[in-house]
Amino acid sequence: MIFKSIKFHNYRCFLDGEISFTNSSSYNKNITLIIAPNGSGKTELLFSFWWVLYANDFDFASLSNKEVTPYALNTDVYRKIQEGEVNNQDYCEVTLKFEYENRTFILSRKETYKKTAKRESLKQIMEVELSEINDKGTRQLPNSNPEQINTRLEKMLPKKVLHGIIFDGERMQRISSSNEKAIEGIRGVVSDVTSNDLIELSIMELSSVKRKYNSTRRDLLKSKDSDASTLQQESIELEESIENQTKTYNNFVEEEENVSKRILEISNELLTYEKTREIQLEFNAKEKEKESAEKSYDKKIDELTAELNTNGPLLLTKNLFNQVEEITSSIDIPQGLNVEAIESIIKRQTCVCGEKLDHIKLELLNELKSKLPPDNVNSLILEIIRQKNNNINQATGRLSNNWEEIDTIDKEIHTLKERISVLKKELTSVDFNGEKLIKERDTLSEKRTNLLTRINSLRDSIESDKNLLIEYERKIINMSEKDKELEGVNLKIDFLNKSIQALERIKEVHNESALKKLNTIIKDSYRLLAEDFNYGRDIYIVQFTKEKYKIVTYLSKDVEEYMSSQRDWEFLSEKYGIDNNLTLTDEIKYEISILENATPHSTGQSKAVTISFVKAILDYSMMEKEQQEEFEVQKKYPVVIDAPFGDLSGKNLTLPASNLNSFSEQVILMLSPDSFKNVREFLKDDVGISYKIEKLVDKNYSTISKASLGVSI
Amino acid sequence: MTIQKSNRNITETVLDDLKFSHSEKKLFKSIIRTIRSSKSTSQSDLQNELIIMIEEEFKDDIQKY
Repeated sequence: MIFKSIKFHNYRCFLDGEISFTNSSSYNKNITLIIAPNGSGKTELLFSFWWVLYANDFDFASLSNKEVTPYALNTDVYRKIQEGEVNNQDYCEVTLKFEYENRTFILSRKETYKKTAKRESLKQIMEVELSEINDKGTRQLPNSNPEQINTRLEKMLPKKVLHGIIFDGERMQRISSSNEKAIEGIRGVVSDVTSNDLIELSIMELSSVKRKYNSTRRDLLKSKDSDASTLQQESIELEESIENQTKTYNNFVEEEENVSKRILEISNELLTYEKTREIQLEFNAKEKEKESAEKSYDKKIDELTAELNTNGPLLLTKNLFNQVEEITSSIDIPQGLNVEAIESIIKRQTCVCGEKLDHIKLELLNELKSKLPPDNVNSLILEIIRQKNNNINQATGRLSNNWEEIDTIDKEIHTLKERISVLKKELTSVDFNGEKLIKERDTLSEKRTNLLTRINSLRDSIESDKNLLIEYERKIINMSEKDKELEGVNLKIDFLNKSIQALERIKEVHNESALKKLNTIIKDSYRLLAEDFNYGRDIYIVQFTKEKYKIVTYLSKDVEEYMSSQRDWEFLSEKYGIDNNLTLTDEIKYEISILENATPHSTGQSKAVTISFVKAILDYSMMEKEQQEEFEVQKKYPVVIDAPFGDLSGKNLTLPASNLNSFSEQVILMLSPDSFKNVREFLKDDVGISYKIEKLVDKNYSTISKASLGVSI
Repeated sequence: MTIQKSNRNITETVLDDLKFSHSEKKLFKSIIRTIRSSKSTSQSDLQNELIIMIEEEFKDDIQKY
């Protein structure tokens, strides 16, 4: 399939707009580049492919971490209808033009939203149309039966395949981490390329024809009054029983797969739960810290208030004291020179040095005595001021320290509040009950054990009934020997039995062979695209063990060393759920060794793994198949990637960027302007057409326009 | 360790293993082609078509008895 164009009307953030895609069988200028800043609609564009192809299986609410509304209609248009009169309505539509096996099709999906009196939310009516454009370019009468369209689309581009060819950076990481989507992708591609549906349909048709021949034989035997007629009737009944058992078996297997998937999902959710518990613990600790900091804050404020109450007036007198000190210091009276001292000298008539005082000196002393203050208060004042200043300085120091401490605690409280707010947000965004999940997992594990027991028992029963059927068949043939008419029917039944057996075997072998081929191809892709290959890391898709289809990476030398040492292979094969009936070949041992030595990846490494996986499934689908092979077919898929280069650097960035054109005849790539700048040099020669998406300021929609690779982007 | 590539046609190998004769192989492949191209045919039409093909193929063999 090749996408030709996609057109929008009122769909999500695109009120209107159309993008034409380029492609090239020579892998030249086959990249359609869409440059769009984050938040302008890259992911919306990516998922519009999902919506137009398989809307019923698409849940917008599942787009975690994206700004989403749970409907396809543009938010503003939705609101306008909602706020308007009853019976107001409008619609959104996505039209995809594509080419499949040299025929052009137009797929159009439209959803009308109508306000009704009774409903709070709008009534939604979905319509889908698929039409073919004939050789003359005329659009043929469209088919509007959703089921028929779905069946046709499943044949052209199966839903499972979309997991491997349409994804964004966020999903890239999931592909290589949880692997669920990768498994869907690999299964989808393998099943599509090896015509699994055709094999299953053929088995069904041939079984029906065989039933008819069995009835004919029973009637013939009855008419000939042969004992074999009873046996034939039993054989028919046994066959019906085998069919019913097989149906039940398949249902159980499917149920077991779903249960296992859910268990895996729960395990992943529980990892988040563990993380949430850690967040909760940190939240509680930070809350306590905040409480204690607030207490310290209050205490310090009390201390500050007390200090101010005690020494506040003193602090206010500092200026006054300074002035008094200045004035007092300006009157220079030596210490000890006071009225009492002068009077003592005058009384003694002799100086302290022993000199006799004459009347002139005595007069001078009397004059001095009259001018001196009654006592020398200056020094006293200065002493008091010194003491007060000392007190003031101490109080100021204490207040200053106190204030600094208050400031530090305040900042600490602020930081704690910020962290608490972040943690609170993280906690409220996780909406699940861990205990409930653990209970669900336990219940499911029990259910899985029961299912596995029933599956094994059914498998044995089917096997034994099949053997019995062969025995009946042999007996019937013996009993109907030498009867021309019966021999003829026997031949046809024998042929049909062999054909059904052949189809079952072909399906099995195709699957095994496809996984082997994919493993060879993914190694080549990894070698081409991942920097880590040069450091001895390699990649593998699990083929035999219970983790079938899982992608793992490992260090080659570790696996070689592991393989060369003595191992308890029986224990290991049990650990990895290897079927008891399977011979423990070197290939299986090799796989177990890889699983034992599988290494975790960083975000960048995960992306390198996913990029290699995508190239591998595309290369595999495009591989030239054996001539005259009835079931393996060559498939052409486009690849649509949103922001694959984030978190990549070095060769993990340059290698995929410079080889992106070789992924498929058609590569639709969405990048932010910044990301484009990083890879521009490696991509520019392979870009056939480019567009830009711009979100209008304060509007709930974006515009799409053609762009050049020049400065404007 | 390199994983062996199988270059053999899977269908052909399986049919050989199950000892399909040349004419049976031809019939098997025609049946598959008919089923593959039966997109618009109804199920009963398809089964009748398959029965006609089988009858036609075994016509000569039956004559022998």
